[in-house]
Order: sequence, then structure tokens, then C-alpha cells
Amino acid sequence: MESLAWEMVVKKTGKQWGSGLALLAAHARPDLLSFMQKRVNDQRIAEDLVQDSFLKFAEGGYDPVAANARPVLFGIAKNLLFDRLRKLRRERDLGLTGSGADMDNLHLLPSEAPSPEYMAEISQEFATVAQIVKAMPKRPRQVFTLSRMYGLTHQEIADRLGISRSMVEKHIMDAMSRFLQAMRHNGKKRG
Amino acid sequence: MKMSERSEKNRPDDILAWQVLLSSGTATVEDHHDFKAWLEVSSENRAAYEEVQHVFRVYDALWADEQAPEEMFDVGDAVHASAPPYKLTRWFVPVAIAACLLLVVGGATLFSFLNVPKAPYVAETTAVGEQRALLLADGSTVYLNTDTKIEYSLSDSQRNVKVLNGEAFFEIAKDPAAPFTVVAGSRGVRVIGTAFNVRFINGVADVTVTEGAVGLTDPEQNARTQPAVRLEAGMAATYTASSIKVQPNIELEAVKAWRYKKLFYQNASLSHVVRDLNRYFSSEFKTVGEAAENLRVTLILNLEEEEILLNTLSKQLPIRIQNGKNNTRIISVLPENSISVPE
Repeated sequence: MESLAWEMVVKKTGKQWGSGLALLAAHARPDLLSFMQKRVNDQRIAEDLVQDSFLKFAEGGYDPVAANARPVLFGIAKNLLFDRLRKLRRERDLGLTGSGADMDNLHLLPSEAPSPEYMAEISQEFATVAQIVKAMPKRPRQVFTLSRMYGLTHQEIADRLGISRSMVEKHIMDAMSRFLQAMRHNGKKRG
Repeated sequence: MKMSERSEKNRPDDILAWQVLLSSGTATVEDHHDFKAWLEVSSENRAAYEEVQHVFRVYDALWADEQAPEEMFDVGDAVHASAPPYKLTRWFVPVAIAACLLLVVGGATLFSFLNVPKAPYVAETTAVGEQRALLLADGSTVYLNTDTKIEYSLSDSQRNVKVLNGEAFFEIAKDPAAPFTVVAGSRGVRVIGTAFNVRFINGVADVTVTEGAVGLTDPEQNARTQPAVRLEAGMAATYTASSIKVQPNIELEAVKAWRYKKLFYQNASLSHVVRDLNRYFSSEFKTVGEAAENLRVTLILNLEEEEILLNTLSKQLPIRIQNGKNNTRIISVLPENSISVPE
């Protein structure tokens, strides 16, 4: 399975598969694939995203044996992930036809993948959000994830989980209240 | 009350209801217009919107982080109800690490065709205030913190690193054919694949495991009669040439924070903070007075310009920082009646 995937990449780029890139792949591909699988929950889409990440890395001319090769690769992958997520959210929120879509609503669209600098700034808030996620009951957590990170409509979520639309709405409100309360409480503590 | 009616009201708490409506999949163009009108009603409404957006940004960022908690990804099979659950073929198989390490893991690695040359020890050093990441030829990553010196040597049959001084975080690529050993002071950490932090300063070593498990070996002892001290994720060992102490439950975020240019302190002594300041900055920091020795602090520091950091420090703690001769900074605790009461 592994070798077949690499052949595909070589053909697409027409580049020689140097040992540097092979080394990066050996080191990072399993982790990257597992990273993607967890987040898109679909084997085929995950593999496509991983392939595209390596393609973009190769085409971008990045140095595969540089110290920052793995972070660069993951950065590319996260951007692809967010591109896809942004598309899903936009299609759901503004309607697939797009012709009536009000482009002033850009403020509703999620931003790009967060930069490393931004991530460093908010690492303390990670702990808060992570704690809330772990403490949340399963249903609100799943509904929130399906809405926010998979871009499903409330009806789609209701159908998948076998609950009513109003329950979906209630779970989303529940999840969001928990996050807001925790962030406010945390903000007060640090004063 | 319908949402369109609420679009003229100063009701910041309605932000949740708006968010639910706009992400429902059934919002109309009119709904979006109404929401814009609601935002224009008051700064409180806008602040509520910004607050929720901030939560979403943090959530998104956490979700994209490799260290995100597993619970974030649990949606059962709900997303593709018709697709069978796929089997994750993991390259890394978590195995118990015994004192003697050579465990053969099935499956070919791609290393076999690569020519990893036998090399003598190569030194890597960071200056005071510098941080750097190294990608080693075997695929492992070593993150070097301030004022650190390591030496490493990789071959087909073994991979060795010595932490001579300072602090480094290791993410070790799996290679059952070549065990990875990190020596700091009187002991070594022996692993096949995992992630851990090593600090070795002034004869005292701290090893904290963040992923997987390691065996802490004493090179002087025979590995067969003295089993290694096993450290699992979340555990840490502090040792010198003559003693060793193991702690079971370490706050891993605090240990990893330096890689994100932050320092976390939870009820730490001021002298601990000052020791760290001496590592990260070229000025010499000293404390003066008994009160300074007894002061416990809980805070987060951003590793940034020295002046800015010291400014933050003197705002958050009841201390005074004075400049002495030759680039020294003298820190003393303010007398009690001059401490401002936090709100």
C-alpha cells in the first residue's frame, strides 16, 4: 500500500523521488495520515489530503531534510484541511447556489489555519477548551463537532444521530454555553 | 420572539441563538441581513459576537493541533453512515519497554534502502535565548532550548545523543533495529519511539515523558540485574549522580510550554523563576531578602524582549526590579502594605 502511494506522487510531479523526500515521508506520512483520518473520518479523503500535502511540499521547493520540514508539511496539510472546511461551512451557511449569497457576510467565514504565532499565544486557552471538551457529555460534543467541523446542517445531524432538529439546536447551545462560561471564568482568574 | 424582531434589540445574549440560526443550513439571505442589523445595534452585541468568534478560533486551532484530545474527534460512524469503519494500520505499535530493549516490530520500514552513514559525534549548541529544532537523519526531531549543548551519533544499529547542558525535547522516530539512547548526567533514556523532555543543568537531570514510555537506565549497573526505571507518559524522573526521584503526574503543558515560547509556573518559588530567567537572558538575575526566598508564584510568562517580560513580571508580582552594575538585575519583594489588592 505504501509503495503504491509513492509511485503515484512521483508520476504526478515528474520529479525524481530523492532520498530526502523519502526520509520525510517515512518519518511524517504515517503521522500525517493518522492526523487526517481523525479529522475527516473518511479514508479516501484523508489519503487525498495527505497526497496533496506532499505534492504541495515538493512543488513548493521546500527542503525535505531541513529542521522545519515536518512542521512545514503539517502546516501545508492544515491549510488544506481548513480550505476544505471553509468550503463546507460556506456551502451550508450561504446556500449551494451562491447566486443570492451576500458576499458581505465574509465575517461569518472561518479564517485560515491558525499561524504558529497565534497558536503560541492561545496555548493557555487550549487547556481550557480541552478541559471542557473532555467534560462535555457525548451528545452535545458530537453535535457541536458535526456542525462546526464537518459543516453538516441541523437536519443532516438530526438524521445521522436519530434525534430531532430541536434537540440538535439544544445541544449546540449547550456546548457553546459551556465554552463561553469557561473562557469567561478563566479570564477572570487571570485578571 | 422571532429572530427578525430581535435584530433591532440590544441583547448580547442572543448571540447564541443567532449562531444556531446562521449555521443551521436553512438560514435565508434575509436572516443574514437581520444579523448584520443586530450587530449594528450596539457595541455589546458586537462584543458578544467577537467573544463567540474567539471561542471558535481557539476551538479550530485546538482541533488542528496534533495534541488535541481524542474526544474532539469522536463522532461515531455518524458522518458516513454507509461507509464501513476503516481499520487504522498504524506504523507505531505501543509496546511495553523492558530494560533490554530490542523488540522486533513486524513490517518493513522504509529505512532499509537508505544509506544512513556511520558518523562520529556531532555537536549542536544554542546560545542564550536561542531555540532551534533539528531533524536528524533517522527522522527524529530534537527541539533545543536556550543555552543547550548536545552531541549525537547515528548509525544503522544505534542512535545516541548526549545532553551535555541545557534542555531538549525529543520526538523519536520508530526504528526497532536501532535503539535510541539519550544520556544526561549519570543515566540514560532508552527508547524505540516516543516523545519526552530532558533537562540537565548543574548536575541535576529531569526527564519527563509526554508520549509512549521509556526506560531510565544506569549505565554503570548491569541491565539484567537492575531493571530500568520505567517512565510512562505523564511521569517524570529527577536524578543526580547519587539519587533519583520519580513523579507520577506531571502537568505536561507546563513542561512543553517552552517550545511555544511560554513558561508556566504553578506555585513555584521565585528563585525557580529567577533560575530560568538566568537561562534565557544574558543579564544576571539575583534575589535579595528572605521574603524573596519564600515567595511562591503562579503565572505564565511569554518569552519575549527582556524589558517587556520584566515589566509584566513586576506588574504581576509584588516585587521591585533594580538594575545593578554589570548588567545585573536585583529582585526584591515589596513590603506588604504596598501590595495592591487584586480585584
